[in-house]
Amino acid sequence: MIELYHVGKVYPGADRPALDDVNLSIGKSEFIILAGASGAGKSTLLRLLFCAEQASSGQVILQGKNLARLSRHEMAKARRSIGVVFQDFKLLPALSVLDNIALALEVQGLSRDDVVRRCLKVLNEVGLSHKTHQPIAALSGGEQQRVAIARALVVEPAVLLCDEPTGNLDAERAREVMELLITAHVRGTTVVVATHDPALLSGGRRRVVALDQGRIAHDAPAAAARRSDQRFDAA
Amino acid sequence: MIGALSASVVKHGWRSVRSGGLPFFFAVLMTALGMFSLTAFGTVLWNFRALARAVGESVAAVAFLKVDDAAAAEETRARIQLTPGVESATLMTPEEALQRARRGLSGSAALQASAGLTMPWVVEVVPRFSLEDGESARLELVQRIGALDGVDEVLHPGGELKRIDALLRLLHGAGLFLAVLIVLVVVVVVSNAVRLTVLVRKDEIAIQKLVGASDAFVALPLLLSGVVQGTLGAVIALVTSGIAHASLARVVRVALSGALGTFTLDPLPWWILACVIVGGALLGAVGALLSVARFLRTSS
Repeated sequence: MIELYHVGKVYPGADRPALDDVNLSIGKSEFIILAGASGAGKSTLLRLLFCAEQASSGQVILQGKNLARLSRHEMAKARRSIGVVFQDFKLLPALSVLDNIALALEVQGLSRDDVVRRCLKVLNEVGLSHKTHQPIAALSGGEQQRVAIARALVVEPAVLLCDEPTGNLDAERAREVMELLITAHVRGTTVVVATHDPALLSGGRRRVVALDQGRIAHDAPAAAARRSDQRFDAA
Repeated sequence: MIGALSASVVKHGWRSVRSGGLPFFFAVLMTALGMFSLTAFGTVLWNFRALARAVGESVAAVAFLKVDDAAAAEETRARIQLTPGVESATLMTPEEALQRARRGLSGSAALQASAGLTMPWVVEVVPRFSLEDGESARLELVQRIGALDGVDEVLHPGGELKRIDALLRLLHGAGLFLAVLIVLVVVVVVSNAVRLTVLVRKDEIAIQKLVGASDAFVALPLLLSGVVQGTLGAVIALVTSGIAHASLARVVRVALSGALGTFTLDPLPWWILACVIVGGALLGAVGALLSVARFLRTSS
């Protein structure tokens, strides 16, 4: 599903690479947690995956396609099969909940009826059907994050990328958001979550890829990663 | 799918129009001003051409014949009539020609000197007048008639026509200059208005790209916004021109009617008005396209 071969990313003016010789393979329907401190390279890796950045070196392969070789049109098409959730939600505050979610379907040229039907379905799934026509600005942080997840899920993506999806939420709201992501995973979506929230590492069977200064430090199930972290912490 | 995309383009285009704010209003105003100037100038040119045509059609050439009898004069008249570029050829007897000449000299000292003057048979030739024919075409016609058997000399008072030609060329040149200037101004103003709209909607466009919007999906609503600006400007210009025409037509008719008959300030024909609207829309589209293309080049 996702393959990274010797991927490096250097931002102009930076004193060290954001990513350095990263090799990673993520299979279909996997649930991956990208762990690491701020600046470890998690967000950069996600940005490479949804084509917001290009790798300085190496290859990023998504669903069999080398992202560096995609034309603008193909890149737009590739993004339609990826759902992305951000820590800062990236919603349009002036628009309603429905219109925010509808945007992801409108770019695909779906009819208004289909758009509304699918939006209502996904809003029901994230528990926001009663807020359909409310402006985003009127929602709480947790609700806004659920709208962002709904926008990502409404396209029924093959891959769901989440960048610190619980970063701005309290523990209860964070748990609700994680449940939504797990539900998507159970339906067969490949989920990649970048986080430095230790609470999210507690799901024992999930694969955790820990990044440190742009390099992969560990790649193991959560329990093993935790043990490894404790070893590092003790040292 | 195309229908659904069109609906989305219209929806997001309308959002671009609404978020245009003051720059949008300014662009519409400038377009209206430019288009009004062009329409006003066009009306002047259109009516001047009508006036020039009336003058041109009233100027006749005179062919003096070297024939002795009426039958030969009539034969020559018929040959002149068949010459390409001749609208009409009217035969005048020497007596009629003399009377006409005396009427022309009425009150002058030359009239006293005309006693004992004799005239030949004369053919009054009205050329088929066209504004597009230059002076050379008229000279050619005079030479063709002059070369016919039985024609002694052809006189063509081309002075007025020369002045009309020169004035028309000047007006056409000025019109072209004005048009180029207005096209540039409108394109630049609309382009900047759309660029500001892009800045206002930058976040929204970034999110659209994030969820897979193609360049066309981003660009078309902005192009639509430019087209709306141009079209609105052109419509306002036409309405203003209509009001100005209604107010000025009577004054101009009274001021300019005279020896050549009643002068009416005609409005521009419908097809030119349609061209103004289409032109406004096109200029808006071009202005928007410049901004959008630059934006898409620099955005990922």
